[in-house]
Amino acid sequence: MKRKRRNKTIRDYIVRYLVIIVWVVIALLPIYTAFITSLTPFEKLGERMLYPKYFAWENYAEVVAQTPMWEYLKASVIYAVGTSIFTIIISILAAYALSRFRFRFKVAFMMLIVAIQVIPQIVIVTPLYGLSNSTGLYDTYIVVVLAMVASAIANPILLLKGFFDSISSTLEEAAAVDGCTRLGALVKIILPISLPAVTTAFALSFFTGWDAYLYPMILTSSPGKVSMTVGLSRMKDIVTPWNWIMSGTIIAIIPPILIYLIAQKYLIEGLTAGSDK
Amino acid sequence: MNLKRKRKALPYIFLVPAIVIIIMIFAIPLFNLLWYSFAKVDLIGNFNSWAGFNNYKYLVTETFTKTLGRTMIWVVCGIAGIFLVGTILALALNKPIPGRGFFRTVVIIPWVIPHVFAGTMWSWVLNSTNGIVNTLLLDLGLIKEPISFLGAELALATVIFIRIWKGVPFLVMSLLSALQTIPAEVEEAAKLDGALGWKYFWHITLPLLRPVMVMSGTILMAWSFTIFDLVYVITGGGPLNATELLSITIYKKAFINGDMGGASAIAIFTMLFVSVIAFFLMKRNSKEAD
Repeated sequence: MKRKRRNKTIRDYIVRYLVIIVWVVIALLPIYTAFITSLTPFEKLGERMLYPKYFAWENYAEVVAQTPMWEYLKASVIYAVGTSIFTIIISILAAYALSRFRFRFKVAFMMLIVAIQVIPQIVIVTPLYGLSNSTGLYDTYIVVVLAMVASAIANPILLLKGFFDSISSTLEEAAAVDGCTRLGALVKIILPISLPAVTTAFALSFFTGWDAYLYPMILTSSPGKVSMTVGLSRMKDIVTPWNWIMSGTIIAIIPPILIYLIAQKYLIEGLTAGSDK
Repeated sequence: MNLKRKRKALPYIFLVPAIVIIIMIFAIPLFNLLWYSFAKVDLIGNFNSWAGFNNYKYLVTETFTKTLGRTMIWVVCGIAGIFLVGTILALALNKPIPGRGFFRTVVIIPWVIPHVFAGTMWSWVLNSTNGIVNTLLLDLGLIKEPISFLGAELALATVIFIRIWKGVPFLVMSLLSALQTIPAEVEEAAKLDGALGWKYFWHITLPLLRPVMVMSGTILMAWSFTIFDLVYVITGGGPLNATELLSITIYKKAFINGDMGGASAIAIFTMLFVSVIAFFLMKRNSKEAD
């Protein structure tokens, strides 16, 4: 009886590991291949390779020297960091209002926040193009950042609201007695405790900003505003050597992966905060 | 008195930045989109003349119904795949197993890879001359000729596969956190009743996961309908329109043909279509939760 149960546990483990490992292989396959290719010299690209045979690190130096990679990176950093900063400030304020105050239109506002998650960029981009031209915001960093903030904002608001709800308001009341304003209480008392949620909000909005493609492609035109996403897809279209494209891609995916690894402890809770409500 | 009024205004003041963004980026553009769709406008949105329902005529052509059908296949197959793989993976990762922390980290990685880079990497992995997948299949003797994954016949299936790759982690995260909320007693009780394995999953786990599944499914559905970058980077809508989805049609109409009115009509249609489906999914869900 005991042995039977043990066999069952082992079988259970094997099945589970099999499922997990198959997925891990599929999940990492493109990254692994991109990495191998990024280290392959151009004339060896036709060779069949399942593991790295060459270590041509100079591909990275070449792609940076021969293409406007730095410019792309700079633009992407501006979009992603800009999106994160604006998103965090705006969503902290909104989430605090939703968590601590009772006011008219509160339910309506919550519903609005849930609803804007499904408004697609491709629908918005056409009128936004016209609008950015008529307001003189066309081809500026700020128009892309603001547009990305709108795409990024819903999840952080829901997530931070949930987190603020779980913090007791006695501390703020004590602070209010000492003459502290609501904004002061938010900054000095609530935010330090909310670091996990704020970290998650930062990571989520950074991913959104780094992912930006359609907005920088349509709403900007000058070379300095081309992001990594737009730059690399153009490199692919004009038939740049694949080893360069893959070096560029590896450079491009490092920042989000790093941020994910740093913030991942909080991310799983954070991302799903809105979906079980 | 003054102080009290000030306190009443406070929540609204905190909401001002969020509301300004929503008005600027969603409300005004959506309003413009609506009148664009009934007008002739130039590329930067200057009004020429009213067009009545002329812009909407494209919606009843065969080309468009084909695109819509293709988009439906893309959405339905993509979501079915994401749910199948995502549920199995979440169950495999739910209970303690050596290395779980590490695997959980790695499993999520496709989610943080931006669509464009996912597209570029997969195009290279699947290319028919010396892509690693074809190399592997040839070496194993499973195929004689390289498979043209991005050819007209397979392109749609291929991009659906990549969509699944990108979408699975989101569902796994949602399901894992939902699974954590199932109390241990439920499983104990089920064990005593002899409800194990498949039966346990069907009658106990699945009903408990339903609300989260519907919510994640709705969001995934809305996103899938309008994903642009992933497919555009890989195929550009081709070959021979094999992967031309709604989003790519909107893009081409607006920014390649310069037909802003026509693009807006399709965009309005898409928006309504997605909202209606989302509304019914959510409504059913909240009814069942009561």
